[in-house]
Amino acid sequence: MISRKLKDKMVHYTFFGIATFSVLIISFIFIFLFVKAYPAIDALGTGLLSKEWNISRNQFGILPAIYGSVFVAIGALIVAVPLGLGASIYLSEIAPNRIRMILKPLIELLAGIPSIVYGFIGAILLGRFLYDTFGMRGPNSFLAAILILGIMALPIIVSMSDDAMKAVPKDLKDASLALGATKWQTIRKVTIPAAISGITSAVIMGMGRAIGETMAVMLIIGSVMRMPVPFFNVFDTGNTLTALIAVQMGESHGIIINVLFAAGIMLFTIVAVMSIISDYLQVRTTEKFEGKR
Amino acid sequence: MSIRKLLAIWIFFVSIVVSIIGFHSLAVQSDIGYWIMAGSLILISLSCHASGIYSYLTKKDGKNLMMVLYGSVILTIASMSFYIPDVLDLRPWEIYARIPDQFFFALIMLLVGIFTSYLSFRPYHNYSKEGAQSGALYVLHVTILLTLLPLFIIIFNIIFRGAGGITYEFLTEDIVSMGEQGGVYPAILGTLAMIALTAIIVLPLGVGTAIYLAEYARKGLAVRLIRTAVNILQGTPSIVHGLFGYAFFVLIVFNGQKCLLAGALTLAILTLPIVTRSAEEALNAVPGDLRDASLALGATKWQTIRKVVVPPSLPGILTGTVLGLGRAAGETAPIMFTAVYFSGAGTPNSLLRPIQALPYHLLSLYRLVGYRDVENQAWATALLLLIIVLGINISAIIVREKYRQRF
Amino acid sequence: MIKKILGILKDDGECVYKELPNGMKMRIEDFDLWYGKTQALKSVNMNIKKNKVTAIIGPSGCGKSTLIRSLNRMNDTIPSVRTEGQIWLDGYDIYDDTADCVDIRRKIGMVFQKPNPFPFSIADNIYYGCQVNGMKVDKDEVVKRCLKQAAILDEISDRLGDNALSLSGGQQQRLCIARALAIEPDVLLMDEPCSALDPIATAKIEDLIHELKKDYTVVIVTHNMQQAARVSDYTAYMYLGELIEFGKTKQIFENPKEESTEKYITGRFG
Repeated sequence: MISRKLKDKMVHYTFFGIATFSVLIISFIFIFLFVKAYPAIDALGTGLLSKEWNISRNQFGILPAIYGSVFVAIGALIVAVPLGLGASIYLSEIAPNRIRMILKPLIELLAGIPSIVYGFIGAILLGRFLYDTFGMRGPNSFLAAILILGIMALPIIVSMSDDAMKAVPKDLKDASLALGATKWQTIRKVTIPAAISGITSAVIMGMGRAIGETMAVMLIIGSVMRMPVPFFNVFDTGNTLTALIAVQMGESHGIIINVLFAAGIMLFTIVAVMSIISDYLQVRTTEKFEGKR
Repeated sequence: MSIRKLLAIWIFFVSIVVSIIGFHSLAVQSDIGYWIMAGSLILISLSCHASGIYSYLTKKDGKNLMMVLYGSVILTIASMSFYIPDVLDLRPWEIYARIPDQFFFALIMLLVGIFTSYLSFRPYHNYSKEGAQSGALYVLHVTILLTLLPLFIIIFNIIFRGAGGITYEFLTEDIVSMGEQGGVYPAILGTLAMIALTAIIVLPLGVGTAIYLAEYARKGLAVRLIRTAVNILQGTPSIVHGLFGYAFFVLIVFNGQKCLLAGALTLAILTLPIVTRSAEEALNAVPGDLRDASLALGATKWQTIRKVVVPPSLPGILTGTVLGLGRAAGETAPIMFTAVYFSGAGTPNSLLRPIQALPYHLLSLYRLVGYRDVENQAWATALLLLIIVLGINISAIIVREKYRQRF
Repeated sequence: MIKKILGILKDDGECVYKELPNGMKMRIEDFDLWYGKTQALKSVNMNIKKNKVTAIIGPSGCGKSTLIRSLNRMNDTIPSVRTEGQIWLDGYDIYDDTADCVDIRRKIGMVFQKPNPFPFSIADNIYYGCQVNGMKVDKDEVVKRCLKQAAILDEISDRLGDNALSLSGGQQQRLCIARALAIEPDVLLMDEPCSALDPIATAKIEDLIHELKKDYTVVIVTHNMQQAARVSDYTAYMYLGELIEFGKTKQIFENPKEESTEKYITGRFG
């Protein structure tokens, strides 16, 4: 019979082993994407980052897709941030507990709707609506993608900012109220400044979601590999990294596949950097209020 | 009730009505016409003037003139709108779009309406700081409504357009003639099989990682690395999971064969951080006193975890896992290169064979819209997918609310 | 052989045995403790007599809780804690490399500041310690005996299956004492056991401590000087991590040798 102390040690190491899995997976993802992307990087070099995409001339510049990803993400933030902040302030500071108990799950449900459903609704309803209103060339446009992504980023921004503002100690708010400030002044001058790094982290995560979103975007962006003209033209069609990969993967072969993996690395890196920043900000918020040991 | 308050209430209601008319005509693309728009703005403008001048005459306070100034701004907007062309054609600027004047009219009414109703709280509270507060709270109420609006639009549309398509045949048959007829039976089974398999793979990994992070981890490089990895994994776009699943599981592990197991493994990686984080949160919610009490009684760490820490956090762990699975059930990108066919895979019968799945079915049907008569089937599939995914999520949320532990 | 009977030390571990003077249960020798870079205990020396109650008093932040948590190595659960010096239990150093803190805690029970019953039934709370230590005992009998020793059996004898969290604060704390008794420790540590309780519950616990010292050696941390005077036989006064004065309770309270002790006891600071 093994003594229970030895068993305790073994259990410890087993859990450590399991925990290292995440690290292993991340490195595997990076390695395998890189291995598959290498032929394209090798053959095309910096041509990969040009804005020329022409299959018959063997030009595979993914710049239009990178630009498209950033464009829709920023657009989505412009839609989602004001709404999301307002909603989260309402949820965390104003809503009576009873209403909060109903609204918070509803917002979580909004986050739970599968992205393919968003894409389907976006393409069939929103795309046609915008087409009817603005008489564009077709139902696909950056505008449709921006609106759908804005809606999809909302629940993340709302629930993460809500957490950040809930983490601000009540004593702090009480102190402000006791000094004769109104609730709104307290929110503006105490709660929001105190929670600002958590809110920023929420916005970054929302942007990460918008950049990484695939199914909703690929159905309404148009999947045309060129930059919008002029560069801010929301009525134009274009492409994003995610849509490029999802659409081309099924219908291509040869070096295009490798190019798609290179696009995948690009995407992975952008989003990984964003989650690291966002996480750093979140840790800072908790440390601010809970103190460091 | 003073005249000042009555005027403020009047402004509030008129602006609400104006903004609702604006929103309605924006949504259904109806033309309100210039004179209706201008008329309603002039009405608001006059009310603002009246309110400002009345307050000024009774109180002689300069800040009351703000309402007069704002009324004049609205009047200017109303008269300027006269110069909006019938159709603003953007094509000369190389932008292929035409914006009709009715869009601008509706937009102006909506924005002016919301802003004026916000402003009306100030005269009501006699320009004190309570006025600023109630105005701000009002705007917050509007934002929460706008945030939930898409949820209702989506659910309303899907239910009304999809409900007709859900028939006995739809639920029990395979695809017939490219989805025009038949149903989604194999896709339902495929999705269920996939998330069941995902759950089996991800539970030990996710809960194990969470136990390590919550109970054993101390500060150090290894722990920092693990945490960072979990965070990056959580943010990783699902299409990247799909690429990795294809490059590793399909091409290397399974010799180029798309299959159920490859899809479940990919989804397990996708859900791992969700399960880990929620399980860790649940474990951390167990107060440290209980751990101390158990250790002080001579229990080993593992006994303490097993008997004292894990049982009360089980509901939280399960909720997180189920939420993760709800996400997995609706994902398309990770499985489209690793596990699914649109048709022909049949009901799942082997781990090493491809399957059909609802999200991918919806995608494929959407691609056929316009070529074949599948739109009704697509709406029905969307409804079914929504029912399954939201059903999973709602049950998880109910479990969480019901078993929320209080120490 | 003795090692095995005591069960403190690993079976094969070579260890130092140091005969403690007669009647002495524990001895703290030049004990230092750091939290990271902050030194919380500075070269503490103290003797704990068998079957007596030893109280540790001092202003908040003086290290009294840290010291009592050191006596059964509960500080091991806090990362960044570092110690130097020895604490002897029946002649064996519990901070020796070969000593195992799980076994030490079985010999030295502890009751915490805030009542912390497990969210199980009352009976399961008591039995938990026997279960994890693999003690072959009759559950009913152990539950009855411990609850009786903790003077709470009469109040709750008909609710043994109820969740322990349904008890009042004072009852919870006596349950925690009963739970600590179930594993038959030699020493019972109490870290401000009454600080979260009302005066009536406090009085009951103080009576209980008098009863307990017949069978156990009790160490109690308290911020309440009257309580220390009432329940203890020996008193230690700590200040800023140092043991300022240690002696018979009567002497400490009536005739303190150190100026600082006198100031604290007469309430001029603290």
